[in-house]
Amino acid sequence: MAKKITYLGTVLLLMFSLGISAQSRKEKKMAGYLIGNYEVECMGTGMDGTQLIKVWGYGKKPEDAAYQAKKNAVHAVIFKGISGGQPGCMMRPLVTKPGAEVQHADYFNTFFANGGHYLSFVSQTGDGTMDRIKVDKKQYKVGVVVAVKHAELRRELEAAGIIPKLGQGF
Amino acid sequence: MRKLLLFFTVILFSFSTFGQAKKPIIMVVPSDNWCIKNGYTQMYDEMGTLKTLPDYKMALQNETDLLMTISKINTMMADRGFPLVNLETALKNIEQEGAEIAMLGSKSGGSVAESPIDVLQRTANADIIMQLTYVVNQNGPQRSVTFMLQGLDAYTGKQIAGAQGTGTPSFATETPVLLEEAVLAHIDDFNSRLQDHFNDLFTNGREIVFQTRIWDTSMIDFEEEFDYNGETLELGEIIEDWVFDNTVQGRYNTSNYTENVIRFDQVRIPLYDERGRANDTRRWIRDLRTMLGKAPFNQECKIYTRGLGEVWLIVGEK
Repeated sequence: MAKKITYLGTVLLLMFSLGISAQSRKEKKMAGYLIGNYEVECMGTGMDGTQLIKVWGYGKKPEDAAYQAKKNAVHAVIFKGISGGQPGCMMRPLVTKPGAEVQHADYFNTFFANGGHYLSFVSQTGDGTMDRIKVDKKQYKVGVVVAVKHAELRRELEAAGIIPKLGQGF
Repeated sequence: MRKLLLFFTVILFSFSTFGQAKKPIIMVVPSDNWCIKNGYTQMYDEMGTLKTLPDYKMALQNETDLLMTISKINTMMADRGFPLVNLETALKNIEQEGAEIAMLGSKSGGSVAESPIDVLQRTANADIIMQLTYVVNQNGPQRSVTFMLQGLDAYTGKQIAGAQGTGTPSFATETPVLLEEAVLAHIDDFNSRLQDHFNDLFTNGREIVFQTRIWDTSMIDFEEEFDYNGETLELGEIIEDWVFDNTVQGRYNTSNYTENVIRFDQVRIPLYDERGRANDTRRWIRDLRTMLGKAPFNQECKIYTRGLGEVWLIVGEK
């Protein structure tokens, strides 16, 4: 009997840990770490230190996809740069050092977690309408226009020691 | 306790001796192209040849758009932790300084010594020039702004950063607003490239130009041979070896070598000297001057600097 309980406990523990692992992998995927092939285009310059971006996200529900799109927008400004669309956005990413994403993985995992700090730097603009495409039975692709505060984002990354402050060392 | 005190003293001492690198002076200046196209030029007779020079003072006094654009760039750079030297203020300072030097007198009636070269060097002396060009394009009722910002190293002549592009055409937007949008759109890309340049500077050293020349009163030239460190070499070759030994990873290029002039460019000098002090061209070249002042050379040398990025060593006398 004791052996059965131990066996059952081990199986449950294993399942639980696998669940956690899957969750974190899913979260990372949501953060755009594992799949970074989202589409993004510039819509113009916003107020000082802000850029308007149209970005697409995927999700089971349109709301999830829109949520993911915001995450992608911040991710694009930090790691990709916005090279398509109208003029006015930063073509170069904020982080240009190769491998910085992996090097500071702990920081970015927390930063891009659901409800994470990244939300402070992005907001949906306009009347909240979104382009919605049903990709298949289980997935929606949603495009939203968001404003990303890239100047504040840069200050945040400078404070975290991920990118150097302009002229640091002089 | 004593050991602890000693430890903290050593730490504090090491922090205080390790200085910061010399900060380059950056200034936004309208490009020659912009000045000539908008008629802000002055003619200058150089030995019978008429030269066209940009008239920055007139441009700043008359073009509000230019003033606004420079001001916007200055503000945004200051926000990003790198305040710039303002062109208008620098021009006024130069004028004011000239007037004060002319008026200043000692109690015994002496005036402030100033050689023609001092007068010539009384310029803004920016190390990096942010050269600004913009054109307002008119296409029927639509207007747009083509904007170009070039970061130029004043001494090496290299473009170290840049951002350019044409904004979205608009029917109703006024020129100052279009220009402001252009600055907002391009300044961070420009800064990103500027930061790359600074990173390179911290890794590979500051790039300077070094020239060594001979006074025509000197008894020797760079082809004079000396026995030095067990070798018989020309003075120029000994100087070249010194440059190799005192550059980051021996990086330099000898672009000209004659008996009277040796020009080294792409010379990478370390940002700090061996004692951890901030290095500049004058400090860097001092050791060479000392070396040439001793046997077997016994040559007096004059050091002449041009801002942070160029230094001359003139051999023969001071």
